[in-house]
Amino acid sequence: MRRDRLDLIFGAAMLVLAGLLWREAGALDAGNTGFFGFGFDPGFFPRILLGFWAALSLVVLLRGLRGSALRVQAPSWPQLASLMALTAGYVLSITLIGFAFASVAFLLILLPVLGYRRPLVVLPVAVIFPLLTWYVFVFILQIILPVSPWFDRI
Amino acid sequence: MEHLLPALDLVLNLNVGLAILVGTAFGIVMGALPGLGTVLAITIALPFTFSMAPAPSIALVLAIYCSSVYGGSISAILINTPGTPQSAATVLDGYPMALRGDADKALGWATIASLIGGLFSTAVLVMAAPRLAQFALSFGPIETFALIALALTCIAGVSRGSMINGLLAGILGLFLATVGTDTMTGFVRFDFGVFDLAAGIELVPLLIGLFALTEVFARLTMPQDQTGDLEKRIGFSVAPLKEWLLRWKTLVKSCVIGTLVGILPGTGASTAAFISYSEAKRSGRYRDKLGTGEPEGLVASEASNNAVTGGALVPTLALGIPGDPSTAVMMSALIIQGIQPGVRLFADNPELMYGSFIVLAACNIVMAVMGAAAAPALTRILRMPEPVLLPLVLVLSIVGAYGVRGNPFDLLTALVAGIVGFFLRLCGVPMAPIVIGMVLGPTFEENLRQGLILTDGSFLAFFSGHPIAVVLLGVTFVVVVLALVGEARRRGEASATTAPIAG
Repeated sequence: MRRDRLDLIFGAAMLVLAGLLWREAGALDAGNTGFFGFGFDPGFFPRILLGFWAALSLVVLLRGLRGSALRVQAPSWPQLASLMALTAGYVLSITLIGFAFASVAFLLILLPVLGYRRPLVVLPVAVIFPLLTWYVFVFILQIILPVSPWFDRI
Repeated sequence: MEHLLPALDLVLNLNVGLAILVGTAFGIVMGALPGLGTVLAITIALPFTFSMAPAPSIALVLAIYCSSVYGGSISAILINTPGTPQSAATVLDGYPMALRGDADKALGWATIASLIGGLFSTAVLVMAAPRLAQFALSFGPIETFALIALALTCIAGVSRGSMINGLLAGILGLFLATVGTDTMTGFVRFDFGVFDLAAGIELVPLLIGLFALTEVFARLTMPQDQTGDLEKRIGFSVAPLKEWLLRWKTLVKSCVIGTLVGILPGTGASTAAFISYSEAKRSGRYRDKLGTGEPEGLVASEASNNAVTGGALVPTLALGIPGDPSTAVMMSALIIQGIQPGVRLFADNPELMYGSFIVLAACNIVMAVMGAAAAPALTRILRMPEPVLLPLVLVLSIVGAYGVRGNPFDLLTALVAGIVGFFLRLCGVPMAPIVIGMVLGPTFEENLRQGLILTDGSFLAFFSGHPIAVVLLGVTFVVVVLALVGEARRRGEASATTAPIAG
């Protein structure tokens, strides 16, 4: 991937975001003039930041327009998409089926997807590690983790 | 001095020794587990102190306090995930060292620097606690604002490749810190109608997303260089004295910075680590190599964040003002024992106070020994095949993000930070400035606005009648100018080659 194209995309995206957030920050001072009339409204500091944000985004955008032959390593897009989708699915499933079951399923799917297919390693790792983590958190550290709809504690 | 022998008599017993051992082991583990950390570790131990005598209970809490700060560096070095926010700066050089196959040396540097930092601040605590506490009171909002402004200059130091991108990342971090309830007016900012955002963005899930998740995504989907074939040394290796002597100035400066920042209420170990890192980047012998796996960066971060432990006890014990949530929880441990921290503490309980200082020194030594003993097992983690290790890091990071406050929203924070962070890295945006902005942002804004209230809205008034602030802002200005000049010199040197993605 060419660095200048990434600069163009990044600079433009940040500039648009700064504009949207500026609108939001502008609304913050309506009826909120600081603390009991003292000091500055809650949008004062964010607006200063957004000013710098927009200026720097413009510099990045101009750098992209100027062009550069520098290239950046590209990821394997299919692998990235599947990894991110699996991670997102894992995070969402934790609240649905509990940490322990979601983690076992996640590892059982992810390890083979990443090319590690030795069942004698995959099975114990995918089952023992999440259960051990669950045990340490729930019973030793007394931190309640999301549970499944089928059991009380796991 | 007359209190030293009775203090020794008080702490030299089996119960205190056991409390130090158990507390240290527990603290290291809690610090190393991403997302947990000092406050949670002390909170978990607090109920056990109810039935203990004052000396062992204080020993237990102090041991957990010291070792959890150190423990955070272990995961920062081994898996690019700071176990605690205090170790965020450790990642910058610790993880590149581990990638290079020098995890054993990185742990050695971090452990010894932590030990020296901890012992230095203990010595300062013994000698000057009441007087230093009074000095800290001369730091008002304007002086604290100037100090944080100086700390923010380290953004320039960690922005390798493009300072513009680094500055933009720093602004992004400062902006993320404004999300949620404004502490001065109670007005909710940038919540976009999402209830969970009203409480702000939690730092630890963001850290986990930006460092751990982006690293896992990058390592599993990007073409890797030869680092995977390097011999990954396991164990614990302390650099020869000659190597330490080459970096002694950074070590001493970091100890002093950590102790002084610790004394200032409301700053904390993360701030101290970044200020020290910034100073090492400005004046260190190997300043040009910082961020690439240079031990000087580790020394700056680790000596400083552990020096905070002693420093933070100065206002806590001598004035009864807890500087951060960790010392606030520790103060409750004292109050549980019927000991009221404050100006009368040293007069009313001299033996117990000096006993606590002896315990603090012992905790630092036990922490270093335990760290060295556990290192061979810990560094073996790096020998696991990456397709097995990295998914386990993902699981541990996700559960760590949840464990901070048991809120499923933090899982989403980590996930979004991981995905957005990966694309930012792809665009050449470094992650560290975002974290620096997030860590320093709330204190920076609060003190700026308080300072402006004091000066009737005039920023120029910050420069009159505030000599400490003038010196700090002057140094900040010089550092910024030097960084811009350095960046201008480097421009144009970049050749048309393939660049690695930012870290």
